[in-house]
Amino acid sequence: MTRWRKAGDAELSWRYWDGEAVVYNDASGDTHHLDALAAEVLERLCTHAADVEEVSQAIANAYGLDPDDDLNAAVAGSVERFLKFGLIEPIPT
Amino acid sequence: MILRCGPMAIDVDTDLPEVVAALEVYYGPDAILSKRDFADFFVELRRPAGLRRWYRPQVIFALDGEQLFKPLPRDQAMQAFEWGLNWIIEHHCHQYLIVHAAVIEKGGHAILMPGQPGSGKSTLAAAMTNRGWRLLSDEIALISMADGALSALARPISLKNESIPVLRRFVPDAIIGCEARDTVKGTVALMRAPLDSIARIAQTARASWIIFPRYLNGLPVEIRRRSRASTLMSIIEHSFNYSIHGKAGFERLADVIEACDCYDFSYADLNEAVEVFDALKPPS
Amino acid sequence: MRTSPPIRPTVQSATSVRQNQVRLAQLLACPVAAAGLSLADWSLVIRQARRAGVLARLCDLIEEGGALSAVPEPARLHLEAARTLAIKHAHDVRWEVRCIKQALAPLDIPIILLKGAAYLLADLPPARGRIFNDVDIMVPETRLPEVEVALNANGWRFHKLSAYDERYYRRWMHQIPPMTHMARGTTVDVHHTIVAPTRRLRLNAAALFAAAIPVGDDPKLRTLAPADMLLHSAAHLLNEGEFDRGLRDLDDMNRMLRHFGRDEGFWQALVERAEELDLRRPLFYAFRYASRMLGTPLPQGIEKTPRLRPPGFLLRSVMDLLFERALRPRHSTCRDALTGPALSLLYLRAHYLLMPARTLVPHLLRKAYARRVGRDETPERGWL
Repeated sequence: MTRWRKAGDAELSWRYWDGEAVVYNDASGDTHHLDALAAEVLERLCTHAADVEEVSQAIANAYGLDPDDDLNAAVAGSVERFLKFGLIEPIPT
Repeated sequence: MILRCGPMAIDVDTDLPEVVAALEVYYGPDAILSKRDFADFFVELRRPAGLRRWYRPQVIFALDGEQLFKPLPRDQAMQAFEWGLNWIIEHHCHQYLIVHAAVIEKGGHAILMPGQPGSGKSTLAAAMTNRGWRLLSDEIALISMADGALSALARPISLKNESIPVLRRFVPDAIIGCEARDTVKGTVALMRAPLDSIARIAQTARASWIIFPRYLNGLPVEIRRRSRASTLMSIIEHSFNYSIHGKAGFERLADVIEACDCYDFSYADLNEAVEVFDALKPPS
Repeated sequence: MRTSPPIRPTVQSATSVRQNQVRLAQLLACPVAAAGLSLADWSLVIRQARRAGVLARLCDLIEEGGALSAVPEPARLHLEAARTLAIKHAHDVRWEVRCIKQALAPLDIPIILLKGAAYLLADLPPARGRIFNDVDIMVPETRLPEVEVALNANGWRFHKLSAYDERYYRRWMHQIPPMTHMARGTTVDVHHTIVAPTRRLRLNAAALFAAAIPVGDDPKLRTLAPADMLLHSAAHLLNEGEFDRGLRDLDDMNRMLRHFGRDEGFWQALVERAEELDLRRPLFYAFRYASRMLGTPLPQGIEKTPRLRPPGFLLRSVMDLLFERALRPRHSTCRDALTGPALSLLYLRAHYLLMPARTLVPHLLRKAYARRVGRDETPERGWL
């Protein structure tokens, strides 16, 4: 499985408000609006590289959720968007 | 002549006597100064050379000799001036974070009202400022990049179409003039800000509420909380120069929002709107 | 209220114009002089600098000289606002170069950055306080079609041009028409040489590629060698008839000559290269006007060196008359009665250098017509 990490040139500034987050990436000049789940996913990938399953599992553990298909799909969807916006990159094998 | 506009000094060179008179009325006599050493911007508002000087006469607005947009009919001279001034502020005043928003203030707490033209923010600002609120601006909010304070301009409020008769009724002794029909925005007119607002231009303010207004004919007034995160994203869309400021712009805007309660607001009746705004409590 | 004539460039005496624009040139040559300027001086300098495109650069230079805090606040706000904008521009160019690099990576070709993007990525003085427009790159002529395809596939698109204008770019200029990115709105100009192949000169582009030096960590990304970079700037300013940013472009050369000129061997190499590329005359004028208008220190006698084949006294005097006006800030306080004609003559000269007479006259007529009906898309912006 592909493992993901924060993109090398991404420089992120965060604000958390009421279960949502806004993130500014100085490299691209883009500002992003993240819901609670997306914020969790990005934050985790910025701290430790991981694959989609590992992130799902960690979130499930932290919040007492079922690591089911819906959660995996939601995490995978976030990862896809983060890649498109240059926030994360795959770790070369 | 020099026109004092908020913190700026504008050197205005014009051959139109009606503009000279209008500037004095709409900005107040204290805003007209004699030529001095320094002006921030040098603008011209003149009749063009050639045919259009006389036949279906036009005016040209220029900054430092460079025409900013197409000539307008002479009877829209003040509109040309206001639009030209907007352009200059948006393109050159990067000591501020600039947002398309109205700003009003009472008791030391300001409301920032972002919105595109046509959202009703100017109408709302015009009404509020005649019911106890101070006007800082009806269209352009200037947020200091240095400390997040809001600067006041107290420029004439631009009214469009139906809002003109509505405001005439709401504020019977308001100074509303320079009416021009058939502009790109329909019928437009200018309303002078209350003298008290003009007198207090030097006072900055701090935002306590961010309210996104919408005029919704026939529906009861409604105000609903919205998230700070979505507010930030919307304000970015309404900002002219957010992207220029990079990370500093993000941090500054986030700080301003953090200190505010944020709402969506829809109204049809100005009196109801006034009641809602008067009842707002500052954030804890 | 004073009555004034309608808007048209005001005409002043030659003396007052010279006085007017001297302050800005003085500041560019010696930024610490900023500490001695009055508010009235600033009022004029700011407007001229803004029109000349050097306001942000002035801010950086003055700050470097430690004199920014001595500038009165109303003036300082303008300097800093311009600088904020320039910082943003630089940031965007870096991102844009990254995107172009990514788009062209599969082609495995050398990409030479030109002008602003080159100064920025190579961290050279002309990058300071710069307002960048497009990103200019140079690629081998034989690979142009592939480059077009790769850029297209990654979101860049041509503007809609008439068939005539498109032929003009490809035949007479040295680039394909500009391509603009659909999402970002940024434009890339793809060149295959640095001087248009003219009726008299065909530049050896291969020599430019051979001398190019790498920049950054990608071996594919390069800039021209210092002498070539300078000659490119000189050829562009002094042969192509575009003076909207005349003073800024002259100052770019001023900065580069000061920077590269610290290496004694540079000057000899520069003159030799000018001979090799047949760009002696632009180099002569570059030396002349950079030193006269901006005080660029030159080695003793280099302006007179016969290898440059300097123009005769008469031609030189005429060119002085023309260029000294064309290179001033594009502001009413810097215009005298001869400024308009000077710009027109230099514009015509540029075309004369470019095309044979039989093409020149129809081309100019066509341009004049297009401008009148508002349909002018081609790159020249000289004043007629």
